[in-house]
Amino acid sequence: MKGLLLKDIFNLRKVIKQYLLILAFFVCYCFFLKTPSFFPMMTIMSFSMIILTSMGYDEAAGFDKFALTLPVNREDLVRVKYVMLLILLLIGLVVGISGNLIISCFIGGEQEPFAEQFSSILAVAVMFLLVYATMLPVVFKIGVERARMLLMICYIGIFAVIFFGLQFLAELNLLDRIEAARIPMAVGIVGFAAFYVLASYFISLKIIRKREW
Amino acid sequence: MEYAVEAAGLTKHYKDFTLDNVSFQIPTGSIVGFIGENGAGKSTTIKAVLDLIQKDAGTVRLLGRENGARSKEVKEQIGVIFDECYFPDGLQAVDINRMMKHIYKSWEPDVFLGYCKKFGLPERKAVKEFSSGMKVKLSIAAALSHHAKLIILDDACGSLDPVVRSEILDIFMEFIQEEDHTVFLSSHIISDIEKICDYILLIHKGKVLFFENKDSLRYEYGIVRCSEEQYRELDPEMVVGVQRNHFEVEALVKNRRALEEKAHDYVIDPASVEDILLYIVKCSQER
Repeated sequence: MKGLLLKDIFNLRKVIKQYLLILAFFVCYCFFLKTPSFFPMMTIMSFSMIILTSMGYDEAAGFDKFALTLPVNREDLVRVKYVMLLILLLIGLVVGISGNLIISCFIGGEQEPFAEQFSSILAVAVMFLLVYATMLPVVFKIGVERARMLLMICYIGIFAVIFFGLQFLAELNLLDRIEAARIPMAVGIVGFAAFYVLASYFISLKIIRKREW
Repeated sequence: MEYAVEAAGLTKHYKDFTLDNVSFQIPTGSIVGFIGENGAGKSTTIKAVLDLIQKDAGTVRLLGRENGARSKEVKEQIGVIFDECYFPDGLQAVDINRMMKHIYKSWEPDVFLGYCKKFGLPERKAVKEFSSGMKVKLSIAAALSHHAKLIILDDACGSLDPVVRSEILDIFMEFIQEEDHTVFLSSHIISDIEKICDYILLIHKGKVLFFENKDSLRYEYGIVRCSEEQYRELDPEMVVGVQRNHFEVEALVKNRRALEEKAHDYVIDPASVEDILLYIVKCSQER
């Protein structure tokens, strides 16, 4: 799997450079808005999107067909993409949080408490994890190009679930209680995300085992 | 006899094509040429052998292992070269070298870079800037750099010029000097097949028509040039295919030696592999 990961890293060199330029633009934009909160969200979004770019490159080159003639099995093809998604999200999270802190220091003024900022950033990361965990089985099934159209639907779907979910909780006057139980909630959300990713992984495995090249 | 590839009853149904009960055995230490017209089922057979498609029926043993294409251990010993290069565009030869070092246990970086040098492939140029011939050479370099025992080529040499092709064929001839090395070469270029192969496997419309030793093919088959009357006197069992023109009838016959001994008034020329392929395919189309 290390070889496949290296292949993605080498192949994405140019793209990563482009993303770094985009991040530099986001930094400037945060200074312009005088708030750092925009930066982690954009960072996490940008880094997580790289997974589709990497799968798009593989698809365009027909790499998976060739990879299966090497000492690589179908499960490895799936595993490497999930590992890469997690690595990308982790990088996005680390860069996002670090950038958020650094930009806050430069901007100065009154900012949200760090615990609140951190939980918002974590929530964004979990949301993107859910989006791409939904996308990956679809990409393995129908390919990146066709799946890209579904990405928007996926974004809207998950945003809608969160938005209407929060409204529903507000109607039941549960938001304050949830606010008070922030840590158990965070553990619950992360647990749910882990379960969701595992389910997505097993669906992808099932798809790739039946796929033909 | 040991076999590098043993396929038995390979069957795959598509909407407009069926790979029909394909069976063959490739002896270890040989070069086998796999021929057939476009759409005959060569690539489908290779995909079935490599487990890239779900077979409807049949079994494959690779290097003595049932379903060998699912075993990493077996795939360590196989090199596959397709008609296209499947390395992603952004990679350079040095990247491929580093990546393959982590994929194959027996990867030889110096051998790979040596082949790159021999084939004139720049180490630090992205694959997307390579010509189609260079891309195939890159795939060949990769297939030959991990002590493979079996090389499978799926119409890989088609985009190479004759000089490079000849160079590559020499490399395969050198490769085959080790007695446990085998090459399974699917190609449209019959001259290449005739030049280096020990056996020829002919597939037509999804069915194997023959798997024969190249020398016995030359010995067995012949082209009879005769009049229409003489043609009618030929044993129909012997005739594999026939072509008519204004002046004579040309028939591909099997069991040429027997005919030569029996009938001295026929002009019988040896048939090349290309003649055999053309007659068989044309004859089948006319039927």
